[in-house]
Amino acid sequence: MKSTVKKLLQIEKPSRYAPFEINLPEKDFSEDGANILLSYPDSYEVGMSNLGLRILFDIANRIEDVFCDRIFAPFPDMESLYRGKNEDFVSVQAKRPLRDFDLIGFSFQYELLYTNFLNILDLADIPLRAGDRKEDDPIIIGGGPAMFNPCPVEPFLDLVFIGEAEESFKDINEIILKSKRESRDRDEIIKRLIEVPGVYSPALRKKDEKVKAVIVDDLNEISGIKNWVVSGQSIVHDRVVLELMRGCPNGCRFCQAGYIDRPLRVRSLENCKKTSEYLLDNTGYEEISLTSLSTGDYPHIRELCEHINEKYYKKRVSISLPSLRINSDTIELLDEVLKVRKSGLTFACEAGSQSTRDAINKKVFRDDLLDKIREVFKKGWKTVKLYFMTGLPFEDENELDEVISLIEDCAFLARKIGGRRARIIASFSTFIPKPFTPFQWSSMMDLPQIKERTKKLLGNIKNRTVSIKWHDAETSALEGYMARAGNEMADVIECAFKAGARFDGWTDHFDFKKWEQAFARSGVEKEKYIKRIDVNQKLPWDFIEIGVKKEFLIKELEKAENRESTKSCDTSKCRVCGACK
Amino acid sequence: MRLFLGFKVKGDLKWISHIEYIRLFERMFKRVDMNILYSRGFNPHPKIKLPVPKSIGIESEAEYCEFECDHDDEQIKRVMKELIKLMNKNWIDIFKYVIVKEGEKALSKRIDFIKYRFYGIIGVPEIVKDFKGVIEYYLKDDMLEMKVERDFSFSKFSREFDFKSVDREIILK
Repeated sequence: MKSTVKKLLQIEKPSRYAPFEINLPEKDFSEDGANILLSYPDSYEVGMSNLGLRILFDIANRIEDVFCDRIFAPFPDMESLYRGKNEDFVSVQAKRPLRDFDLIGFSFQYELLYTNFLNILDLADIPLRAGDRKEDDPIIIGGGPAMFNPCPVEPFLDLVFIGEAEESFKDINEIILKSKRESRDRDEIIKRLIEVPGVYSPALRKKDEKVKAVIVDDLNEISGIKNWVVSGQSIVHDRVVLELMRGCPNGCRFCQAGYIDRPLRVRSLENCKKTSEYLLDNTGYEEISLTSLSTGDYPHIRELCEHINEKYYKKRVSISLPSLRINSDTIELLDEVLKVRKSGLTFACEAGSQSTRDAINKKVFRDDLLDKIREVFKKGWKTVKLYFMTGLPFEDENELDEVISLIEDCAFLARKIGGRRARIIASFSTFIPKPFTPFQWSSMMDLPQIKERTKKLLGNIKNRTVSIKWHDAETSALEGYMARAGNEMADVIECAFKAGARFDGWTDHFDFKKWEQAFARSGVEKEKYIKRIDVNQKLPWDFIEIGVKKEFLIKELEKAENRESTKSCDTSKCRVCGACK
Repeated sequence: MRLFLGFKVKGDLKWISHIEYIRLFERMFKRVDMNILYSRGFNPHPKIKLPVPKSIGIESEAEYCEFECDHDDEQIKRVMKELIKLMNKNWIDIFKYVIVKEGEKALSKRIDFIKYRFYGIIGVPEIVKDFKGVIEYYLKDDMLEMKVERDFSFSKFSREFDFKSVDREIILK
C-alpha cells in the first residue's frame, strides 16, 4: 500500500489509477467465480466516457458469481514506474494483476488504440501473439467498431466479437463461469465461446467461413444500466448518457456507424422517460446527454425533453443533444432543451459545394444553413461550430474555394447579428475510407496532400470571427493505413509498439517517425492502403456479414458518382439494403 | 440556511482535486433532494465551498465544507440523515454537521493560521540507532518519506511525503 502511495505521488493525475468512484457494485474478485476484465485501451477519462464499456460492465456484474473489473491504458509516466520497479500491472477496482482474470475484453473504438492494447498485454506479462499464450494466460477477446475489420489485430486476439454485445456478453460470462467450475482447459473454453453468436476465433475460423454480426432487435428489451458508476474525478463525458436510437436513417456514404448499426431501432418514449429518471436520481448528475447518431430524428424528442425539463429544471439538470441535424424542428427544439444552460452548437456541413454534399448523401443546403446561422445568432448564441471533411470522394473541383466561401458567409452573418463576440469555429477532419461503407473502395488523400490542404485552408481564411481547428495530418494518415489493412499490419503494429508508440490518437504523444520505421522494418508499403480498390477485388473483411448487402454498397457508390441522393431509411417499408428483416 | 459539514478523507478519495470535491458534493446533494442554492450570475454555481483547499494525496481526519440550501430545520434533519447514509455507503465518512446561525462568520474567516508540522520517520530498521544513521538511511532511498501534519483551527491530516522534493530550507531540531 505504501509503495502505491509513493508511486502515485510521482505521477500526473494519480486519480487515473486510483479513482474514487461511487455506485460501484458490491462485488470483489473471487477464486471460485468468473473474473472478467474489460479494457478500453486509452486513458481512464476517455475509457469511462464510453457507453459500451459501461453497459457491458453492468451486465457482467449483475450475473451471480461473476466479477467484472476494468483496466485502462497507463500514461508513459506511470508505465515507466511499472516497468522500472517490475511491479504487477493491476486492475482498477480489485487491484489484481491482469493475469489473474479469466477473460480480458478489449473495446476498439478506432484503430489508433492498437499500440495501447499491446502495451497493456505486455505490462501484464501476457504474450502478445495469441499463438504464444499458455494454459494459465487469460483469454483475450476484442470487440467494438474497429473490429468490423479485425485483420490488423487478429494475430493478437484469441477471440473476436462482431456486433452489439449486450446479449452475447451475458452468454460469454456464463460460459466462462460454467467452464471454470467444470475445470475445462483454455482451448476447450475457447471452443465453447465460439458457439456464441458473433464470436469467432481467428486461429480456428475456416477459410471462407462467414461470421454474422449480432444486432439487438429491440432496444426496449435491453434493461438500462443499474449501477452507473460516478467518478470522483472529471472524465471527458462527465454526464449521464441515454441512448435514444441505434442506427441512423440518413445514410451518409462516408459514415461507418450509419451502415454497421443498421437497421434503425428506436427506444420507446416510456422507456426513455423511465431510464432517464432512474439514471438522474441515482447519480445526481447535472447533465443528461440524449445520444444517437442523429438525435433530431428521434420521433419523441420534444416530449422527452419537455418531460426531463419539467421534472429536473429545479435541480438544474441540463440536456445536451449531440448530433443534431439542421432543420426547422431542431431550432425550435433548442429553445426547449437549453433552458438550463446554453451549450455549443455544431452544424455538420461536411462539404462546401452542393455537388460534393450530393455525392456523400448529406442533405444540407447552403441557404438553409445560412438561415439557421442567422436564427441561432438572433437567439443569442455566440459560438457556432461548423464541421467539414476534406478529401471526400467525387469532390467538386472548386471544393476548397466553396468551403472557404461558405465559412466566410457564415462569419459575415455571425458578426452582423451576433456582434463582436460572435465566433465561428470551423473544424476540419480528413476523410478516411472505412469498411462497410459505399466509400470502402475509394482512395484517400496521401500525407503531402492532407498537409497541403490544411496549409491552403489556414492561408485563405483570414476572417477574425473564424477559428480553425484541424485533425493532425499524420494521425489521420495512420488511421487510413490501418482501416483497410489485412493481417500483415500486425507486424507493423507490434514493431511500432516495441519502438515505443503509445497513445497514437493523442497528438502530444504521437510519434509518426516510429510508425514510419515500423513500416520500413516490416517491409509493408503503407501507401497501398490508401489507394482506390476495385469493387471486384476481395476485401480482408469480406467474411463478415453485417446484413447490408455488398451490392447495395456498390450501387450507393455508383449513385455517389452520379451525385444522386438516397432517401432516408423507412424501416416499416424499405427492404433495399438488406439490414431490415 | 448555511451549514458546515465535517468529513474524513480516506483511501482513494485523497486523490481527487478541490473542484472535484465540490462537484461530488453537488451530486450527492442532488441525490437526496437537497435544495442547494446557486449563485445568480450568468453561469450559476452551487453555493458549496471548501474553504482551505487540500493538496492531492493527503488523507484527512477532518475536512470541512460550507454550503447554503433552502430548507427549514425539520426538513434539513431528514435530508442530512439521508445524505449521511448515502455518503457512508459510498465511503465518505461525515462525522458532524452544524447549522450556522445568521450573522455568524463564514468558515474561511474563522481560520487564523495554518501550521505544517513534519514529524516521525516511518519504518526505520532497528539496526539504525542514531539520528545521523536515520538520515543517511533515508537519503539512500529514491524518496524520503516523512509524515506531514497540517493544523488549522479544527482540521488535522497527514500524508506520506517526498521530503527530498521540498525546495525549502529545513532546520533540524
